Amino acid sequence: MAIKSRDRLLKYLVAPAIIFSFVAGVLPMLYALRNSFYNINVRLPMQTERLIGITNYKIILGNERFQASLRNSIVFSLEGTIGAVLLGLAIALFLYYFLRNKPLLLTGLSTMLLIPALTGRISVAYIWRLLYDPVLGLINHVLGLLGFGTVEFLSNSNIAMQSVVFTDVWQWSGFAALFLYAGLVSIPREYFEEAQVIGASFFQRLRYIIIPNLKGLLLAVFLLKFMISLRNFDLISVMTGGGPGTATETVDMYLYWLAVGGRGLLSRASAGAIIMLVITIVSFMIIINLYQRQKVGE
Amino acid sequence: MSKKQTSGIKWLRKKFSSLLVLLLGVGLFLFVFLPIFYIATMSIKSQSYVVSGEFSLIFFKPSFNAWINTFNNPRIWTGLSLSVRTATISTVIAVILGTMAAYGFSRYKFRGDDDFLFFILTQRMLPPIAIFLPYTLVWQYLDMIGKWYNLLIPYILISLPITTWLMHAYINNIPIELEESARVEGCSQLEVLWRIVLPNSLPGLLMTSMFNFALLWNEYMFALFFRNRTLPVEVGAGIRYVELTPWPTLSAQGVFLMVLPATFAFYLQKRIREQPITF
Amino acid sequence: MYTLEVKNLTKIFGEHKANDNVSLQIEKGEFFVLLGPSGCGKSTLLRSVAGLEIPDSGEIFISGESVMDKEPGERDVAMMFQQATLYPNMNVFDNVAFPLKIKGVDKQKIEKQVTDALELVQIPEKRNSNIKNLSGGEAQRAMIARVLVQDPEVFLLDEPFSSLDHQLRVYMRKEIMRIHQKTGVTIMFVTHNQEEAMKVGDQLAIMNNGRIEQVGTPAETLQQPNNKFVAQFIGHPQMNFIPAEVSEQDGQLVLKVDSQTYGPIAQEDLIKQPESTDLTIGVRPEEVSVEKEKKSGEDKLNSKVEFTESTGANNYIHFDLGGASVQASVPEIKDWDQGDEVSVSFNKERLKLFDPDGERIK
Repeated sequence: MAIKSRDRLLKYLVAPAIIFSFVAGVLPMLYALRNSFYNINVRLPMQTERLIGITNYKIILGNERFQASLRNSIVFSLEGTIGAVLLGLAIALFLYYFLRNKPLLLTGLSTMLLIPALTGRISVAYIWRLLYDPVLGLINHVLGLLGFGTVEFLSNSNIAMQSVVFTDVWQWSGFAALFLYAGLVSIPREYFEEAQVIGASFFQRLRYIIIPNLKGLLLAVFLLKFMISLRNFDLISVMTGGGPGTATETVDMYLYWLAVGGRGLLSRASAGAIIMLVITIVSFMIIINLYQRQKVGE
Repeated sequence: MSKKQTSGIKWLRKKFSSLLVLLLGVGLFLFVFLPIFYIATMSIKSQSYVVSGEFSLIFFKPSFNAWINTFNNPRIWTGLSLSVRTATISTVIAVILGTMAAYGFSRYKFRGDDDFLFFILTQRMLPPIAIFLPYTLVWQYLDMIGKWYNLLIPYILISLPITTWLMHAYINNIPIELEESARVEGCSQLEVLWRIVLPNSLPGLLMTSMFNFALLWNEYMFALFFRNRTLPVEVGAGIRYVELTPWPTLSAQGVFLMVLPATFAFYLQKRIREQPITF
Repeated sequence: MYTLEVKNLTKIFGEHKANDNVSLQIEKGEFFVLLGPSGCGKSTLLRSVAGLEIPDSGEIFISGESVMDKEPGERDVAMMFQQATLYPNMNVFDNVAFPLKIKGVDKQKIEKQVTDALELVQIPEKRNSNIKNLSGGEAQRAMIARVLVQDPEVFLLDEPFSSLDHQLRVYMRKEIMRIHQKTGVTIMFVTHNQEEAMKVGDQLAIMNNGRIEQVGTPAETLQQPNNKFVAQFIGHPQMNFIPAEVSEQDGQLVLKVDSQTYGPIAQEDLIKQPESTDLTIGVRPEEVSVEKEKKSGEDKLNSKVEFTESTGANNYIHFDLGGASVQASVPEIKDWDQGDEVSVSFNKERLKLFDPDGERIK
């Protein structure tokens, strides 16, 4: 039959990606789940594998360093995401209001804004390690000129995490801004013209026109940035190595240390990874639910 | 009289606000530009200048020792070749698989199609450590730790969701009537894909490939864990032990690492601004 | 042998029957129009002919041959969609040449055919233009050229000009008629615009709810509608429908509207006997004649003018009969005022009667 050949072809087209995602994504997760109930230790390859139930979960949930790393992961992801989206929105509004009709400036600045996002975390980590450096850093140099004392951005455990988060916001706010700018441009002009006629102030426009029209996109950008934030090993391990102490250690770093770097407790680390997986899925469910609810509301 | 006064105030306000806009614009530019500029100039300072305690953003005697050191370092070149290889192969495979799936999801309505699409997207949400732990056992078992190709599967896994999502959004914008027209004009379904859909989604393909390549080019964690000394791992190793390598050399390596993906910025900013991408 | 024949075609989308046992035949060279309100299934029928939909049952023949197992591209049809489907990745020449290239026609032949087609649609100077730089009309012309070069057995048009503004639409319609007359190609044309359908079609098929209500020439559908749906869909201004009660007197029919009687109507004028006493009179505004004062008689009904209306060229008065609003065309609008007594009579020969199912019995 004529068009049925199309449907068959389309089935063949979607199958590889689904099968790949299942084999390379889901099966390993199931394997990790299984491992989390055993006593696998990569330092003791001769040890017989034994089912030990939920012992790994009990131990790791009670571990203070794991709890701290979990807290750090959440703080880093949430603060970095909110920061980048808010700053991104501010930048997008700036571009929209003042540079929309200046294509050359807009293109130039947009290109500049995107470069940090395309730059790898390793380079970004290095750039900011240099900027934060107490001796060679630009920031401390400027602070010195202004008469302030030297700030140990990365070795003061009180502010180390915030310094890292700021780096993350610096890297991704331009990226968020461009996505949001596209949304701003697509808001029908009539809304703004009407607001002009009514005489709405900037904040009224923001509240009643821009935010409602941008809600879906804001959530999409939030989601995207949140996913990016969950992969933070590269940035933090290069900037602080998790230190000072364990002040900036995230789940990825701790579990890696636990499984490979430290005592080789791969099963216990797997339990931690499964906990992280559950937390991630739940938080994404919440965001996606919000997203769909607002989509229905549209 | 009073009229004149208000217009004078208005004029002042106008001047003031345009000055404010200018300041904000310059501030924004510097906010992004200065850090990059700082590392770039650091790479052409001499180590003796850096440690001498002198400080100048612009007025210093340039030295290209750091760059010479970088280019003379064989590890940088092996890292580069490994990075190019893994990032290119993974990008190509992910883009092919992802585009096929995106087209299928965009045109083929079956029960639960949205769920399957969402399933592919969820792969991006897996915590990287949760991917690493099971893989490390499998790679050990297969004796693949340290082999360059052990990166391909995780790399495709992390780039497939974004590919599928972006291409899905892009292909949805191609009117289905174009394809139907081509069908009636004698194309088979595959010819439609080849002659109509792909040529018309070229900008989307380019955008997606650039995103993926940049993502994988910069990937650090899997490369490190699976013992592949890609360029980020080489550069990152220097930075982790910053005391052992001179700052200018590190800067040169950092700049070297970021140059290639940065060249995508001009094309990508235009694409991103063109149309909003949602789910 | 018909150029296109559809036999007992049914297509169901979920619960909805888009085509319900549809049959039709199209002769070679005919300009055949499928007319109906939106959602009546006319586009589905056209798409089934093109091979873009698979019917649930029924068969389609093109030049006497069943095409049910053929891919859309093998059916020897060409199709134009609502929007011009020019391929953005090709210029005008490549767009027009595309179907030929797919069929493997050799280069010199393509060159000649495309040049001729562009000549025929009068845009030869645009052959190397990017399609982004075409005006709406030029894009439609390029589309027509692309359809023409395929030299199809049947030319399928799915509301091809509905996205154009009125002026351009009228112009493109004339172009299609000119090309049809020049090339003699068989055309199946889908539209929801009855005025357009009446102007272009040799044959009309009026569709409603997935079924064909009537097939005929424009004049036939206008003068002898099969049923009430066709009668109200065809013709402008719309036919008046007046509820009436029928009774028999001396072997003839007498109609009762309100408390007034109208008739008699000869039995031999009926297509079939009424099965119910509740009928509907159908009469076009130009078949209603009115006089100013109250008159009585067998074929006169009385009412009062509710309002008057003038379109410039035509004048109408509106009044109530049997609870239905009736309009009648009058020569002079200034003769009439709201509240005037009016005596109404109908052109009895042309008067239609519909039974409660909507079927025409006279």
